[in-house]
Amino acid sequence: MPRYSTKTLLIGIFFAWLWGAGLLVFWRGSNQWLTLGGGSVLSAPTPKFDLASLRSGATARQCEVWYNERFGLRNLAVRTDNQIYMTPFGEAPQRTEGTTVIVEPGTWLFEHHYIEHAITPSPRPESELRAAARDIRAAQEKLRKLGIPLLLVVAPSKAEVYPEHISPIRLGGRTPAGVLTSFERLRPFLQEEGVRYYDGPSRFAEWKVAGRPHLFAPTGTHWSYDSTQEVWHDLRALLNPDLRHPIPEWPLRSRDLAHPQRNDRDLLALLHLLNELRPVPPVPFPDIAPQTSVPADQLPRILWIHDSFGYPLIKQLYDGNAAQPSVGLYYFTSAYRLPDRTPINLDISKIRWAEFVKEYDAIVVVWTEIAADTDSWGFFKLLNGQL
Amino acid sequence: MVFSSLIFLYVFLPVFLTSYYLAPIRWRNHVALIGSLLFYAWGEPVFAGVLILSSLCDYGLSHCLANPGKGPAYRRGVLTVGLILNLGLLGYFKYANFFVGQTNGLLAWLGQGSLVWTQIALPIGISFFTFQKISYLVDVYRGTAKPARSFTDFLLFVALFPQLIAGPIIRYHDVAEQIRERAHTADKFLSGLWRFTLGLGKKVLIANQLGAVADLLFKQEIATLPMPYAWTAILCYTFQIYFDFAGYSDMAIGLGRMMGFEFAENFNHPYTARSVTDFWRRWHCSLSTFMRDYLYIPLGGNRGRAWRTGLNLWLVFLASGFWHGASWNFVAWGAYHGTFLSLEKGFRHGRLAHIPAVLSWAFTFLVICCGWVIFRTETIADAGHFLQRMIAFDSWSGVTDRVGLFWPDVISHRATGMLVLAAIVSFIPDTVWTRWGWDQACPTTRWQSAGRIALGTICLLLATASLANQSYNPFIYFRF
Repeated sequence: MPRYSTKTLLIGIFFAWLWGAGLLVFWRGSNQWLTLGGGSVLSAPTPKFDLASLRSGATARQCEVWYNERFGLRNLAVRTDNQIYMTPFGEAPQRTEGTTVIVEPGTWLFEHHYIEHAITPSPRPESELRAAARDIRAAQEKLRKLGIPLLLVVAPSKAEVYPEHISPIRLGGRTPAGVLTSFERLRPFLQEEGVRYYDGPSRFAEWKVAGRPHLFAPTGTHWSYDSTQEVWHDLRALLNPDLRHPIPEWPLRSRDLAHPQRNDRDLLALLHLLNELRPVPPVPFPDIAPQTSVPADQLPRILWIHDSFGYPLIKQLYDGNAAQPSVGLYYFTSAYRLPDRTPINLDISKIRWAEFVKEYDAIVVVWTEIAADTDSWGFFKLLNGQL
Repeated sequence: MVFSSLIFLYVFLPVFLTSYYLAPIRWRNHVALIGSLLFYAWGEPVFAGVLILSSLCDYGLSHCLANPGKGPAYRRGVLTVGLILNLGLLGYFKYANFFVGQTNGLLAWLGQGSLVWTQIALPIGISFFTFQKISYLVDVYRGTAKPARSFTDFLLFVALFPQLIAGPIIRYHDVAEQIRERAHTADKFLSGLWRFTLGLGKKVLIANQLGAVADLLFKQEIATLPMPYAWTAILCYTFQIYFDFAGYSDMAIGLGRMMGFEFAENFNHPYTARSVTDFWRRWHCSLSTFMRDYLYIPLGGNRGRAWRTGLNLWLVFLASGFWHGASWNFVAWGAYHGTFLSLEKGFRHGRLAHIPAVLSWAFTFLVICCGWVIFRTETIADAGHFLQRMIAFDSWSGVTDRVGLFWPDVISHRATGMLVLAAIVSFIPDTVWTRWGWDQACPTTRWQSAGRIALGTICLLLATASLANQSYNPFIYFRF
């Protein structure tokens, strides 16, 4: 039994802990390790203290959400809990909201959502898929008449490219190859309509058969920074013949195997651990040098409408100094300026497309195959309605 | 506000405990009362008025009951008024929606129009504080307790925040003296702190993990639930409800001790019980004791013939089931337990007593698990389907097509670990816990002290980490 002084000390430590941890909510400071940090987003509004909110209990609920978000040790606490999931149990927590990361042997990480999509047959009616293909073709045709090439880039899903790294129990006896997803059903209609598109899933399947490694980094969810170099070779071949100002090649300083960087470690970062996983398989990192042979005013200006698979492409394009400043429409909902990625206050629903498209040499739409059912977030329909 | 929330742990608790211990001893009851009312009013301020006004009525009635100049008929009348007021309040807030719903169902069946009714919100903890107030009135009526010396003392008994929301159900004569005078010692505080952190760990680290699995499975189509999923669901729920409720009771007892109070124990390793009767001596003891003293004995207890005793038991458990919630499932759950208790009463001296311990324990655990199926499902039909699925030996093939859930999505490794830990902790006999000194309020050896400090610290830190990482945090017993 602790002696009296020890007991007092223990009680003192307890009080100090409660007060210290509690008051950290008011100290943002620069120590991101303790307070905010990756995965922490401040979205809760400031609680209202009016009579109606107080009486209904809304104030109390708002205070709890507000406090949970700002709890001073939040970052450290979340990392600790995630580490408990990872170290003894070898997994990441299942999230009801947000992204659930699946941890497979060899530090192969997947997004749960992508696995689910790869083994779920598409229920979409054929008529809708055909109509979607027609919309894309019509938009391409209208823009072609204006002298603006429109390219659809379909990115592959990691779960489709590397299913052998997913535990059979997670696939429930199915294989992604044996399940027809919406994009796989859309593909024949795209071909039938004569849509110009980049078929990332087919291309990656070819590369895989040819033995090309590192198409995806084990620790990333997007196509690897290295493989997007090769994707750019293909995209140049598809776009340049129609461009007044072709996209130039950019030189590489090096392409050494290295610890995953940028999008090659996005799932690793999402695990949000105290101690990063070991060992993390190295991946080649193409160090891009800006091209200097083509002057700035001779570079193309490309409008990007894309999901997260567009970022690695855009990053390389501007690292290589191969395009003029432009605009990106992320998920066709938020606009930002390129290359600095600063948000623009632009209401996308109010854009007058007939005028807007004239500012660009080309439009590139990028989505991963799991987004096939979004119909490019309504972009082609809207464009066809206005052009 | 729930104990297992960051705002309680790191805002309410430090502010309250500091204010409490900085206040002079004579003011501590007032600090405790203000803290308790703020705690209750935090989420539902309107119902704090219900709590205070109804307590005021009971306080007034208790002084009428204690009036020495009045005869037994007057006192019986006053007690009846008190019981009607309390049970009426409980009936209105907790059961009116149910009865109107049932009536409307009947009217629809008869082809008649339905009653116009606005749904009533349930004040948190009303089942618990109503029973506490009834115990007070009956104790004063019986002369086992004197009326509270002041309204604030009585209100503190009713509203004392550690036990206000989900018990243990405190009876007035057990704490009347403590409200007047209690010791505040470092030993008591540390013992309370240990108990609180242990309860926090049970709730956040075990019950919440298992609750997520149970919730996921119980919301699936029950009629097609594969047998392994059905067993996983009910085992997770069986341990979830225990660790959730026992964890809450630990926290309540611990917080009480930190304020100098001693509350009665509510659980005593219930899943080691060797009969349903034994289970009810170990599970939610404060409710069982209340039911025994204020319903079973007034009904005649075991003073009559065997069939009458059985009937009394069955009626008590029917009422106990209905107390848990306004649904036929709770009534059926009460009747189910009442039936087993009545049967055991009848066979007590027969052959059942000679069954090997392992068999009687396993049988009891199975009965309890099946009871939780009735308790957890939404309708009696669902309970029937679920019990069927528990014995449906169909193959694994097509499981995921039927349910759309893969095994790794159903139960994580961590939840599996917690299920195993929960089972081990639950099945260790109480004699072993006693030998380890676990049940003592204060440790007696240096090793016990060190173990408690280490385990308490781990529970507090890991629970904080887990709370920061999860938004899923409801207490099962809040709806009762």
